[in-house]
This record gives sequence, structure tokens and C-alpha cells, in this order.
Amino acid sequence: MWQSFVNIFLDILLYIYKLVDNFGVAIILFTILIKLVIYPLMRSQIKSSAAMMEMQKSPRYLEMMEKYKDNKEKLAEEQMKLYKEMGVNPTASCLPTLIQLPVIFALYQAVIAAIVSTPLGMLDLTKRIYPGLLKIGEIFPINPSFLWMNLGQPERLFLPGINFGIPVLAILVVVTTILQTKLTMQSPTGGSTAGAGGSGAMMTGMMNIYMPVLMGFMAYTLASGLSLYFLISNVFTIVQYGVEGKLNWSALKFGKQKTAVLTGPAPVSIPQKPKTTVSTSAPAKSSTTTSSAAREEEKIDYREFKNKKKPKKNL
Amino acid sequence: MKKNKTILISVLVLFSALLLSSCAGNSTLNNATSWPGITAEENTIYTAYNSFVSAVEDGQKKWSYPAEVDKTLLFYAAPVIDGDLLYTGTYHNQIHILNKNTGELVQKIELPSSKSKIIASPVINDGLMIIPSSDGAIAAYAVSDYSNPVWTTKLSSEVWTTPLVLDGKVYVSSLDKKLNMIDLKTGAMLESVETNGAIMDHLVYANGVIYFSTFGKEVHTYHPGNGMVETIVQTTGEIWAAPLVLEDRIITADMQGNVYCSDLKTEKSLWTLNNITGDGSPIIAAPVQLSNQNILIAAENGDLFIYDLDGKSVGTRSTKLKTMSSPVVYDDSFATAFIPGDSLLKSFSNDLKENWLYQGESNTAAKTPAK
Repeated sequence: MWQSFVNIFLDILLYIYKLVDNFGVAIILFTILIKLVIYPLMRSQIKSSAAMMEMQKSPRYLEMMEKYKDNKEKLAEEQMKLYKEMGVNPTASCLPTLIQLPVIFALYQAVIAAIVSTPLGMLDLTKRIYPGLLKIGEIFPINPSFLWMNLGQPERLFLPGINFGIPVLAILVVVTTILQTKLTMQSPTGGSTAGAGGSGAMMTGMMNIYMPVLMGFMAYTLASGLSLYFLISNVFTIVQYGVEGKLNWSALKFGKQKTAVLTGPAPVSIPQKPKTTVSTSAPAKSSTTTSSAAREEEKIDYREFKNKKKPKKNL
Repeated sequence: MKKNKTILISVLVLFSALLLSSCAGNSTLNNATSWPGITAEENTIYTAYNSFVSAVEDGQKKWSYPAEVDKTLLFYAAPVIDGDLLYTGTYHNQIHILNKNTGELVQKIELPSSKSKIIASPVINDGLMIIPSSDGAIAAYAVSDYSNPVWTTKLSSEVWTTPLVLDGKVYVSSLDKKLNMIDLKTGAMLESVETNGAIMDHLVYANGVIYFSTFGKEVHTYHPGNGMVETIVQTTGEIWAAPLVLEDRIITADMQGNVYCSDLKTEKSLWTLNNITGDGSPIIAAPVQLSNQNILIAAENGDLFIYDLDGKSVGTRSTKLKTMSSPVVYDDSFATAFIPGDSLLKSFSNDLKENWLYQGESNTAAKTPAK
């Protein structure tokens, strides 16, 4: 089953290679093709994220967060009700990401299967391609070279005078992953997704760190054909958000953004005896709606939270 | 709650990294494996596969090299016998020279490039050992001094086939559909001829010409005298196996399980057998002629077929194993190597009765395939 799935990718990839006679260009075109196929899903993800953010700005949501902050089960129940009423699918934003995971694995296996280095690998390849679409004699041997890279090997650029290889592609993957993460995060304040709530902010924070590190690690260690996929995929996603008019350019102003992010979800009014855990992360504009909740305000410093320290109460 | 999410994300990230890394591991492993190399001299069968080189006689091990398993060694190329010495290449840029009678290591040559995977056998001719490497380099060493290569020539693509030395020239195919000619003494590239497909198996010299089959579904001849390339057989499927050239006919098997026989003089088809395996299983091993003149075809699915020179079936035997190595003929028998299976080598008589089997060293005999 999985093998058949990979073989479809392999056939498409090799068919494109047959047309363009360049494996790197074939991977780029293949990536664009995949992104175009999942474009409708991505679009719904963008819309869903925006709708979610809008909803999280609403006074009703904030009140609900405040009201049920000590009752997680009830909070989840009320949240689901609200999602339903407002027609928001909280899982919609995950779908394109989840769909891309098997695509990444399949593409990786397809790239490795296509760039054979031994007779047994070659024999395996002859059995995996669909003879009605491709003739192995016409496309073999597949030239894995693209620019300075061997797409079947991890990429390194060797420059004169430097006695080590520079992982240019891995660096580009890390940079574009950071850019993509920052630019595509929806925020009611134009800041970040901190408004998604404490746990959401934490997940976002972790993803901000993990994703570039993971992608960079994979780009550094695995075949550069896959890194090329990551790079093109990142660039395409940024372009896609740009086309939809949802790029969050303010997130790139690192100095200002830091302030916006950290103070954006302004000090939240917490009733007496608040727990040290973050209950909400309301956007700045909405802070006034919650300020009536209590006279004695205890403010949570989000900078502490961002630094993964226990939130500190500022009296 | 947050702690759980942290753990969940960490696990997902680690899982993804591990999954892709394991994919890489598998792929590397898959790409690093091949089928056994097999050679016969008199009634001793020499085989190189995975971490061992073995000499087998009547199903009994004469010796095995190395004595202890060494995971850094991977042998695939068929061993070459020259005098009392056996030469075998490794997947990690080494040639091990052994005493063919005892299996003791006489000398080890390490090629300069660490990318040199030796997939095809070396050739010894005129005091030189010519080593083909999958990184496209052809290196020649004087057999009297292995300290440095006499010459090294880099070809435009990988080399998976054994060179042919003829009249002071080294003929070697590269995977980019080329037949290359190199000067034996100097290593200078003399000529490179384009063909219609990659040449996957060895070149055959007979009747004053060089025969080779291609992935372009054709068998060609190259005339060393005038440099002419001619097509003499066309097939339905791609051809991996080298042709079997007899006195008056040429026999070719393709990757769709078809077998073709053509007259060498007229180039007319004498007979064709379609899909002999019934399931379209490819034929990777080159056909061989047995001592009784019949033709043996070993299909990849482990089925063995014997035909007479007129294409009439003489016998069939299914082994339920896989074979891609060309069988070797000795006395009135032949031996063939299998993967994966409970035996590495099996010997059969000319009428397909099993003489003996050799299981191989513990880690060379693969497990019986799952049904």
C-alpha cells in the first residue's frame, strides 16, 4: 500500500524528469505540483486561521475563557459550542500540514529510489516504474546533479580557501522556515499567535524553535533532493499567503515585533487568587473588555512566559 | 496540560526525525546491497557476498575470508582467479588479494578515492590489474607493485561492468550509455562511443567483435578494427544480461522474460520464447551454455530453464529463491547463487538434479523470504 503510494510519486517525478531532463528542475516542478494540488486545503487553512483569530478576539470568547478557566472540561465544551456556532473548524488548519507529512516521506523515498547507486537499486527501480508511462531505458541513468549538488546526497558547497563544505541548502531551509513561520502566523494585533491562548502560544513558541531546527537538521543530513523540496515548499507557502493577502509583515520587524508580541496580549485581568498558569492571552484591543472582571489586577508578564519561566506576578 | 503538549510535540518531532532517518538508513542499505559474485575453477566455486568470500567444493566449505565477521567489509564483485591468487573488490574502495587455496590475505589495495565502490570484477592482463569503480574511475596497478596506480582515468559516469582488455586497449562501459576505449599502457582515453542505452552487464568478445546488450532493447556489436557499431538483435524488453555468443548464434534474454536466438551471420531470428517464466519475471543473469551444449537460463524469480540449441525445452526447475548472478559451469554441473534464501549456493547436474547446497556464512545466507 505504502509502496504503491511512493511508486506514484516516483512515476510522476521521473515523468517530469523525462520531460525536463534535469532532476533538480523535476523536483522543483513536482513540489509546485504538490502545492497546487493542496492549494484549496491551504486556502481553507488560511481562512480557518483567520476566522479562529477573529473568534478569539470576541468578547464572548474572552469571557468564556475567564469564566471557565478553572474547569478545563467545561471550557473545552463551551469552546466547541462556539466553534460550531461560528462555523469554525479548529482542526482545519492541521489538515494541509498532516497531508504534507506522507508526501514528504514518499518524496524522500522516491528521490532515493530514483538515484540508484547499485545494480540491486537499479533492479528495484525497474520494477517500481509504470511501464505504460515510462521506459526505464530512456531515463536511466538519472543524472542527480543540480547546480553544485548531488541530489541523492546531503548538500555541501566547497569554496576555494575553505576546508569545509557549507550547507547552503540547509541554511536556506532554516531561513525560509523561520520566515514562513513568522510571516504566515495570523494575529489579531498583527503580532503573533499569542492570542491563541496560553497553551497555543506555548505550542507556537515551541514550533518556532522546533520547526526550523528539525527542517535544518533534515536538510543537513538527508538527501539534498528533499532539502530542495523543503525550500521550494517554504517559498511557495509564503507566496501563497502573499497572494491571499495574509502575510504578517510586521512579524519581520524583530525589534518592534518583540515588543508587540510580549506586550501585545496585554496584561490580563485575573481575578483574585489566580493560578500561576496562564489563563488567557487576550489581544491588546480587547483588554478593556476584561478589565471589569476584577478590581485587584494581577498582571502576568508574558516575557517571562516566552522565556519559558514560570509566569511572574507583577503587583 | 502544557507539559503533556510539550511532550507530545517533542515526541512528534523526534518521531519525524527518526522516521526520515530510518528511511535514509533503509535506502542506504538497499542501495548498498547487490547479489553474490560467483566464479568457478575446476570444481571449486568461489563466491563473494556481503561480508565473506568463500571457496566451496562439493557443498563443503574449503575456506572463508575473513575468519571473523567484519561488518566494514562488503563484497559483491565476482572473484577473479589468476594463478594462485584470488582478487575480490569491496564496496568500500578496496581490493583484497587472497591465496586461492587457503583464503589467507596476501595483500590489500586501497583505492585513492573513498567513493570507489567496486561493483564489477577487476581484470588482470599484461602485468596490470584494471579496477573498475562505481565512481567512474578506472585504475590500473602493476601486479608487481600495488603502492600507487600506474594510471587512473575518470570516465563520465559510473562503471558497473568488468572491463575487457583487447589488443592494448581497455574497453569499458559507463552507465551514461557509452562504450569507452582506454590505452592500456598510458590510461589515455582513446574513444567513446554512444549507444542507445546503458550497458548493464559485461562485454563479450567473440568472432573478432565485441558484443553487448543495452537497456535500449538492442544487442550491438562493436568492431575494433573499424569502430563500427551495429545492431544485431532487437528485443521487446530492456536487456540487462550479456548475450551468450556461440559459434553460429547469439542468445539474448530480456527483462520481460523473453529469450531470443539469432543467427550470427544472417542476423535473422532463429527462434524466440516469450515470457518463459509465465509471470514476466525479468532475466538478469546472462545465459550460459552447459557442458552438454544445452542453454541454461536463470530467471530472477529463481526458475531455471534448460533449452537445446533449437529452443526446445529440456528441463525446468523452480527454486523459489531469487537469482541474478550468472551460473557457473563446472564438470557436468553448474552452480548458481541465490538471494534471499536458506542457501547461498546450489549445484545442479545438467538435467537439473540438485547435487549439493551451501548455506554460506551465518550472515551471508539471507533468511527464507516471507510468503
